[in-house]
Amino acid sequence: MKKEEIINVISEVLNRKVDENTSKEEIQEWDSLKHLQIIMEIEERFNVAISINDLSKINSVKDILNILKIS
Amino acid sequence: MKIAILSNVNVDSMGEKLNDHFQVYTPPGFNTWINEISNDNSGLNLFDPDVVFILIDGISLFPETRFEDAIPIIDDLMSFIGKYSEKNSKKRIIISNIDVKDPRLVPFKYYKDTSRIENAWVEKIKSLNRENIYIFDLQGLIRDNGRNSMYSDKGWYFGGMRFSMNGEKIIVSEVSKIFFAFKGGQKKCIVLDLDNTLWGGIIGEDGINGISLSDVKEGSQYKDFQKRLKDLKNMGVLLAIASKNNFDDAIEVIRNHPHMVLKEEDFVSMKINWDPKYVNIQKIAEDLNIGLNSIVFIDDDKFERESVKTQLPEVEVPDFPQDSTMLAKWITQLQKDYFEFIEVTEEDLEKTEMYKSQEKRKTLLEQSASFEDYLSSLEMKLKIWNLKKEDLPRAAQLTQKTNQFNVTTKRYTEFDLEKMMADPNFSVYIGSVADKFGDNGKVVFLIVKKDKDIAYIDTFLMSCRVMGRHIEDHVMDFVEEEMKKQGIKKIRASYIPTKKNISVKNLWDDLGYKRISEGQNGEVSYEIDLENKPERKVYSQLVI
Repeated sequence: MKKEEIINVISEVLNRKVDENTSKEEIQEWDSLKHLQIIMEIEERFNVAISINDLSKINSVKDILNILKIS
Repeated sequence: MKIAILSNVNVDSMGEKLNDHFQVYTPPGFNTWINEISNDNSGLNLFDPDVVFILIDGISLFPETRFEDAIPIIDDLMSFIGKYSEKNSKKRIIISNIDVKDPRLVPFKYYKDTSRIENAWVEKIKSLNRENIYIFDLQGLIRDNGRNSMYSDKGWYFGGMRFSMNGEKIIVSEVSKIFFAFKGGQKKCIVLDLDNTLWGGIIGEDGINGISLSDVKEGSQYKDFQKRLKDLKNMGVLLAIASKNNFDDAIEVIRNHPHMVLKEEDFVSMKINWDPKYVNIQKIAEDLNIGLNSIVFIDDDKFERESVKTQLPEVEVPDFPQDSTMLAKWITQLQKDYFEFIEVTEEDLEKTEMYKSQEKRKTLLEQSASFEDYLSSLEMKLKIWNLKKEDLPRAAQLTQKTNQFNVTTKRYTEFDLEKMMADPNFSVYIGSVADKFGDNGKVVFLIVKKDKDIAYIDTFLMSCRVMGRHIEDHVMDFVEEEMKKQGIKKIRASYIPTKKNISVKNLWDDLGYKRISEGQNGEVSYEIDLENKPERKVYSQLVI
């Protein structure tokens, strides 16, 4: 699981390019449903579990990478 | 093609996934599908889709529901679907079967029988007995892939999405193949290698007793594979062979091996020689008069596959599984990818026979002194009649699929044609052509629209199987005489050019029709005065 792969998945779900510094509030498409889909897609694709408690703490691409402990 | 996806769960992201290929509508709000199909002013009705896909999540539809309580709910929902399908008889409605799961915690002894509800759902759909309703096997997908992989609790509790991202992908991939099948575009022919493809081993080295083909163990992989190929043949797919072998070695297996499922008569063409495979594939395409782009080539040898890919880029060349235990799954996927058919007509079943007689005709032509001699010696019989109800599927199929000999290329559904059949202003004819080599089936189709003493040829098409035999002369002669009897004085016709119908560009000129106008897009209008119609030489005999 590499940083680029995670960023690609997020871009794919949002159907637009994002990078490491993109935050949720600057992207209109990143609504609560898409938020959930991003997490589900990452979980399923990389066989990891992201706790539902972390969901509301995620506000950016960086937050996701941090939770997955990817730097 | 316009597609609406309705569901009792959130399917927005499935809609987005289908967006690339189709115009998609998913209703706003949650679980609004009944309102969408029953309300005339709903978004669904304004969108006016060609196909309505109703995906039902059985778990949320029947939570903790006893069989007795489920029945009235099913009856109720199906009456809405039944009404919608009657009102929208031109639309295709695909409704899923359901997977029901009773989440209640119970002692071991109380077996929770959810399959009765699942079965009742399907039985009820079938009892609607509507031709425009199709059943989507969602349950089958869930069984193959497992609930744990298809469903997501996270998605459900936090987004109303029942299916996991993976589950959505599986459903979307499956259903889009059905949408594509509605559009047509399936492949026509499979060209097969023999060694390590139809049987294990190499006949030239192992001999008929050494190859692997049997009812049990390793050999049954190949026998099962052949059975699936036979299924495809029975759906109207043509099977052909391109194999590098001594003909005698290979044909001995095909004729005499006790476990060969595919027999000599199942193959429309057998090229067993030492020529390069692309040469043989080209010959097969020419002999059968089909495009290279309608051929799928199956060979276990990577070198052969690459060579065909390079030489004939139009031919579809899927990778062949290296592990022979994968063959069963692989052929299932192959069908989904290239040969997803909605239904099979009588003509489809006879296809192999028809194409084989095509080859015999070719031989006769090569031996004939002249083309006229050839046509006369074919002993063709043309039969034309007013379209009947039982002809509707074939007639619709002809309008959908015929590209070459088709002067206006108008596509019609069974429902369209049924309406015209009932309208006295229309005459709709279908015709079959037989000759001494066999019956080509229903291959001629015409729609004539009458307005006072003028008749308009709305559609005139013939299957490419019978092209180039002057049958069109005879058909138009027949139609003109019929129109005369009905008091028609003039017939108007037109040619609307497409990329594929160049072969009928001068059809009306050749039939003695006069050009009356030419449109900007290349459309040409013609007219003939039935009092002054030319004598035409015909080679077929008319059977009424």
